[in-house]
Amino acid sequence: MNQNDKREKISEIIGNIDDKYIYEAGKAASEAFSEETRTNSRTNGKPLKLPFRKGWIVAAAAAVLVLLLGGASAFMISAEAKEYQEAVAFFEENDLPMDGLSRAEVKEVYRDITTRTFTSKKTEEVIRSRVAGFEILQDEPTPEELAAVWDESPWQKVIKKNGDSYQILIEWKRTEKEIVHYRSQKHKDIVVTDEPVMTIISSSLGFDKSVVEFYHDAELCWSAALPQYAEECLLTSMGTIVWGRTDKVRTTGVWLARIDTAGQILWEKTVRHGFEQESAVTVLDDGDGTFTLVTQGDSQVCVSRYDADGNELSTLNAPLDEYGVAAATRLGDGYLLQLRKWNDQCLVRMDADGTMHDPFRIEGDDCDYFISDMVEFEGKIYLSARAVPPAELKRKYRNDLTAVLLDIMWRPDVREMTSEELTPLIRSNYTAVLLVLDPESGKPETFYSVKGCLGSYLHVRGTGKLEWEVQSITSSRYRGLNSYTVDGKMEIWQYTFDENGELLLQEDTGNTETFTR
Amino acid sequence: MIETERREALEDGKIIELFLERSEQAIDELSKKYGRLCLRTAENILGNPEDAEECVNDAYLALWNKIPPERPELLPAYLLRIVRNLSVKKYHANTAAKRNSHYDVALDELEDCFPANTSVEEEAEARETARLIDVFLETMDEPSRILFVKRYFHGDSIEELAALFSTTKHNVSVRLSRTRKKLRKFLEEKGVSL
Repeated sequence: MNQNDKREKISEIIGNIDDKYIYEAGKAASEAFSEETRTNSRTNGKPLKLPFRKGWIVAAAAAVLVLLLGGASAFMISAEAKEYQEAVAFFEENDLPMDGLSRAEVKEVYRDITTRTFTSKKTEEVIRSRVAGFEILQDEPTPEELAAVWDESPWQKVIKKNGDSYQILIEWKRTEKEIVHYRSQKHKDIVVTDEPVMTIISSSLGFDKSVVEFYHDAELCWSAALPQYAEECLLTSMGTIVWGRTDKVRTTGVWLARIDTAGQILWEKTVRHGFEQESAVTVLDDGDGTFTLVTQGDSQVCVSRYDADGNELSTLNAPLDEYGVAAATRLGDGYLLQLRKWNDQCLVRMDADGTMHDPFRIEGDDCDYFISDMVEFEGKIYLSARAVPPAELKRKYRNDLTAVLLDIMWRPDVREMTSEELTPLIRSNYTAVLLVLDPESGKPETFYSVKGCLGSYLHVRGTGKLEWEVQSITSSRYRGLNSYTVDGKMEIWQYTFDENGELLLQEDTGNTETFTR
Repeated sequence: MIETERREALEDGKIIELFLERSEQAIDELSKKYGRLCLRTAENILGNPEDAEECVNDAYLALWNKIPPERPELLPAYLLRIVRNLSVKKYHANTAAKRNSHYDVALDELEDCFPANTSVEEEAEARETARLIDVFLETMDEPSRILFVKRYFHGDSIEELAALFSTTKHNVSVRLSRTRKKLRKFLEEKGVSL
């Protein structure tokens, strides 16, 4: 940015400060101006004074004198400043946002919380804005309810994947090549110096290995290096099952591995079911020493069962037409598949013998659902989704933010919209929904919902807990350009339920993701 | 002692009512009450009285066209913002030879408040940064705040500010320098770059 650009930018920034400060400064100057126009000046007007060092000493002495004489005003000024400093420190200690709050409001919230009164609307706003992924179910919480949220302080608990979790790291082969070249300095085409310069060029030669790490309560228990491209892991009764693909660039084949509880690789193998290209969808623990691998290839879904040693016990295929399989889970003796294509998504039951039933769709009375994950837990099927306002069929699956984009893109000030203005509009478009599906009727019920968020992954932990990840949109900006895009940031929250469906925890994972529409 | 005829300036609310009644007296009253402040702000930026007078007159016309339907809460701030925007536009439109070094100096003083970054930021971030500056200004004592706004929004010179505050130019410079340091620290903590 050159100097003139910087000046323009600074000028623009200063030009946007709040009216009240312009008014204050203008008023002060007007008072001074009115003093100039009066013929008997200096006696009527009050000249402005800056509190410089000498002045402060005088002011401090005056404050002492006033105190001694019982005067209250100077004491009140210094007490106010002290309280404000304490309030700021309180906000910082408790990681609360001060953005948009006036000095008086900061003190108001500080007093409201420290006296445990919780009656100020500003306090509620501050807590709501801080815990964007924490569901405060009540629209107007009582002081007791707000106090309970404050005591919970979920924004201060960042979990490090308590319980069991995996991390997959992909490593690449690299070479470092030394290249020597010569750098010349010339003066009027005459070479003055000719010194050798060494440059190191690093380049990737492709995939090297996958490293799978297993953590328990954030402690690394083991890591294992595998020769193929690992995509996901599942903790089963047989240890860890890892699956992925045999070739990074082209999905030519599916690959499996089993690792014991000490991190020893027991076996790894490539599996093929006659498709030209095949990719893995998921692995399901059958709970009896076997597991099921769901794959897809050549417009077919393939369900194969394996024993603990990786021997294939059975396999069956079924046609998919133009759909792809996004997720799969057990449903009774058979399976429930989530199918997706560019302009449609649906669920379909598949019997144990491969018979496919008619597809059905999850539809809301006043919203459209986009399903992102599903899992079987304690005999029920749970679906993680986001609910959005209903859209016309032709753009139903193209962009779930179309309604908001169409609303704002014509505004003359759209490019000046701040995150504070835009993010509430974006959040109002979404509700993260955890649906529970009746396996017989196929009818979903809303199990839990969080406004302003998108439903993400579901995990079932061996300890009988269901974990639901929710993406909370916390900031956004409009990037008009040619494609009318909104992007921003999401904080990832985790909701944990027990086998009875009781909510046990709401926790900030500390992770963030980007959001683009 | 020469007695001058002095009429009390109308309240802002009454001036706005004159605008709403489409009475041309509205402009007269506006000019009487805020004309000198507007001219001074425009002249600080533009560097010459003719351009300044032109911008102020344009600002009056803009107000005449905006009110109604608008009904500003803080009339002088509303007016001064229009004056400043028109003046800055005219200032940028002038050729480089006519640039006002005095206004540039004020802007250059603020450059150090923004941590360096070579990327060009989006327009929306100017508003966001201004909002942060509002938060910063709220933490300041009133005279320091007035000094900052007078210097960097109105473009008042150090000499003018010293006269306004009945102090020395050195004191004004020192006070502004301290404020800028605090602002830089505040913006760094907020992750702002320019």
